[in-house]
Amino acid sequence: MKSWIKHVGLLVLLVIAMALSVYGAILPSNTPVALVGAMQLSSFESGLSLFQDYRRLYYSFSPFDDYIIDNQNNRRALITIEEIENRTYTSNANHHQVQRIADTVEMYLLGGTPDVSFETPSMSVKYNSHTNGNQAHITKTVTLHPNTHIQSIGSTLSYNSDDIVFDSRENVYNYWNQNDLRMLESLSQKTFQERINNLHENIADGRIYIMNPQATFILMVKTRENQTLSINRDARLIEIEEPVIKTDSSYRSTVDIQVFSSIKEIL
Amino acid sequence: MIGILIASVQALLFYLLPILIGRAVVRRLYSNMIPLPFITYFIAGACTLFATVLLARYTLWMIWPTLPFEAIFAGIVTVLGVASIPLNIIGGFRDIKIKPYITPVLFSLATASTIFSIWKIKSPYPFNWDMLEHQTLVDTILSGRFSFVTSQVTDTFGFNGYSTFIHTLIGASQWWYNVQAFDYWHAIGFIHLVLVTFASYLLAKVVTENKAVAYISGLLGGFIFDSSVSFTSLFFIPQTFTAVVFIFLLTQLFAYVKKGMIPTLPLVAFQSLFLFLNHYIIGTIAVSGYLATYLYCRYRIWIAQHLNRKLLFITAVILAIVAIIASAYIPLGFINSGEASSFTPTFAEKYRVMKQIYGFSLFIFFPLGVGAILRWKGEVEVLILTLTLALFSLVVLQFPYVLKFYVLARFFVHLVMAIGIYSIVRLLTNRLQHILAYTLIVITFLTLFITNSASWKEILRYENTYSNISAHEVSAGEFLKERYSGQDALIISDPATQQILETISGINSQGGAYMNSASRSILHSLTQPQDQAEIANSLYEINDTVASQSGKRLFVVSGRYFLWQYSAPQDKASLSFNIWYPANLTLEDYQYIQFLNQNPTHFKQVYGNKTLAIFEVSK
Repeated sequence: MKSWIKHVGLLVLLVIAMALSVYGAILPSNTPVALVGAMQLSSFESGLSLFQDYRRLYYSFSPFDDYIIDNQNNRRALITIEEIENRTYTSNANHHQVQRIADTVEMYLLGGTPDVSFETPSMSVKYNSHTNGNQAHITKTVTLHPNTHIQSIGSTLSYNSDDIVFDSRENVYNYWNQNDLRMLESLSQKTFQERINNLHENIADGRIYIMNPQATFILMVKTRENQTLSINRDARLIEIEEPVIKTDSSYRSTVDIQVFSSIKEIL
Repeated sequence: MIGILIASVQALLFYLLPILIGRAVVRRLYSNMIPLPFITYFIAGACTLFATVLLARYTLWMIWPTLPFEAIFAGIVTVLGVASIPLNIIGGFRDIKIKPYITPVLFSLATASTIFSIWKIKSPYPFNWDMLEHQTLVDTILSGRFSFVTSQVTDTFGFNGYSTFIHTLIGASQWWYNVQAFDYWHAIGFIHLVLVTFASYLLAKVVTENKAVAYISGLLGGFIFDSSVSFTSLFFIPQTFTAVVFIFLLTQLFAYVKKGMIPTLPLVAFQSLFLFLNHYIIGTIAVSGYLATYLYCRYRIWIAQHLNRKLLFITAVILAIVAIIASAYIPLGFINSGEASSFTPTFAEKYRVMKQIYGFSLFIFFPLGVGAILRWKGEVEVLILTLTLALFSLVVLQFPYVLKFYVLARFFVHLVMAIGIYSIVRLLTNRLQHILAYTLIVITFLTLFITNSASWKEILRYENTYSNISAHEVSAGEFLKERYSGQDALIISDPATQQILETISGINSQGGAYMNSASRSILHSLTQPQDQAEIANSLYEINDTVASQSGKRLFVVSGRYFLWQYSAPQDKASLSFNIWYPANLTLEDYQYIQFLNQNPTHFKQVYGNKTLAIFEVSK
């Protein structure tokens, strides 16, 4: 009996030593990360972001911008400015070391599936991702207080002030520098019509492209059936809105993204 | 597939050819049995080959410089190789003992295969950046320009850290078939990993005579990737090659001692020369360790009778601690034009490096191993501990470039760690408990390898791969090879792009990744507003310093080139700064390309893809 206890004790000691060994590992700064063509997808404190790290460009799906529209046509963000200022929400963006180690191993061997969730007293939202090659599908599941009734749900993707935002019908909705626009026209052999007067504009095409003159990717957001696409120039957001279908007290919405690495791929 | 097979055969020949030649030579000269003879055969054969090529270069070719040196080289390799075959067969195979090595070799193959396949996930090209410059040197040798001094062969080598010994051996294995360089370096990288694992096993086995310790040491040897500066297990480069040979030599020395014998001084001196010629700095440290160990083994009875070994050991430990503390106050950052300061990590930075490589395992099992050795008091084990502490102290010193010495120290550190792990495992008596324990060890160090690899590759993410080279750059290199091979042309771009394209295409550049300061200044000046004619004239001021170029300039504007141009001037002036990852062209980059295209008199675009554009430049 004494011998058995001694051996179990030794095994436990070995397990602890090995576990401690692994616990000390230094991990990649963003974990998990999914490779999506020329970009990467990871979770941050503000949501899920597509980014190109060395170019410092981020495109985010965030509950701070995503919104719901209630039956009285009132629009509100999933997490309001007051909730942000008072910090009355929680997030699981910062995983503990053990989870990060597991995420790193999974990401390296199988590819990452970044996800993040947020919770306030009145709602919870989870962002899941599924990636395949240069495509990413971001699914948002929102659970609201039972007394909250909504008619539609909005997903948003932020963009940067110097991005060129355009659709396949040769309308350009945002750009910063005329030379950049002329270069794009030269490369694509197209002439763009400027649609930059309205702060909010619907995009009939159902497909929008975002590129940055200092980056090497072109993001495409493509709508599904029942989704409408628009640009909110005031908040620098691409908005994808759809009427709700409630399932098990939750509302689910998916945004489809594709990442290209050259203009020729989208012509 | 055929290409990979041929490349694998070529990589095997790097080792087999010298062994065949060496065995034929050594058995004629040395009738006594040599423990672990394959290492002596390898060194003897390699030296015979290198000496013959040197003799031809500095006698025959000096007298008749019109002789095609590449043909002489091929002839030497063929004659030596073919002649050695019958000499190997005559006299039998009494010296070749395979049976004791079957299981360890299979173990090393299995360990290396596991690690290599994990390392290669989503990674189509070798990460061994240095292979580009070494392959360039080999290609230059094979095209007829050979010297003992690397900087006289190609200006990619500004600092002569080693002779062209290893490049001669690589050339000897490659000359007969023009295979894709990446396939060769993948294959030789894998064989190197097998040898690192096997060397770790063998050293532990001979020292401790304990199979369990040996297998744990082998496991650590293969699973631990020192991912900063030394890169021992996964990068086949002169310093790592020298380290592996050193470990085999030390193992041979201990094998001699265990048989109650001692190698002759000429043999030790000859083998030391090999170490030195393959890397002057690592080789010097390796030779010091090898000779010190040899002298101790040779005179240990006298030492035991006349010196207090315990006191010697304690004195050495105290001296090491004093040296480590004092080194923080000796400023050596001025070395190498101030670049040394960038390669002088602080204690905190070294701690972080060790944590990335080992997690906390080094800090747990190394002390356990030290304690076990001091308790057991085995003579050879204490000697190994002394060597370990000496080499590890070198690494900890606050001097520039010392992390390089970990390429030697790691084998001993892992042996001590293996003893530390075994000191717990040996107390288990049940077979099931042993299985559980070893499974746990494998899972732990496999996990550490994965987290280490993931961290190291973080900046190298590119289009769903981890790579520091893109397929588009490879295509561009192949285009250059097809169009400009045999012509007098000079590639000009940022250092990283030059390094990659020069290796793939065989077209020369000024210094590859080690472009000199004059060329860097000229490139930097192109960021100032100027017209195409001025740019073209500037590009013609860049010249190769070994083989002067009067032919056309091929200006390559790549995503890397633009990122390099946007960098701070002090970074652009530094040899240690590069754009290590592939980068596609941005819209702003295309504007510059369009600007160059507006003047076809001076800039004629001959190639373009989403990563780069290549221009023929006319003055």
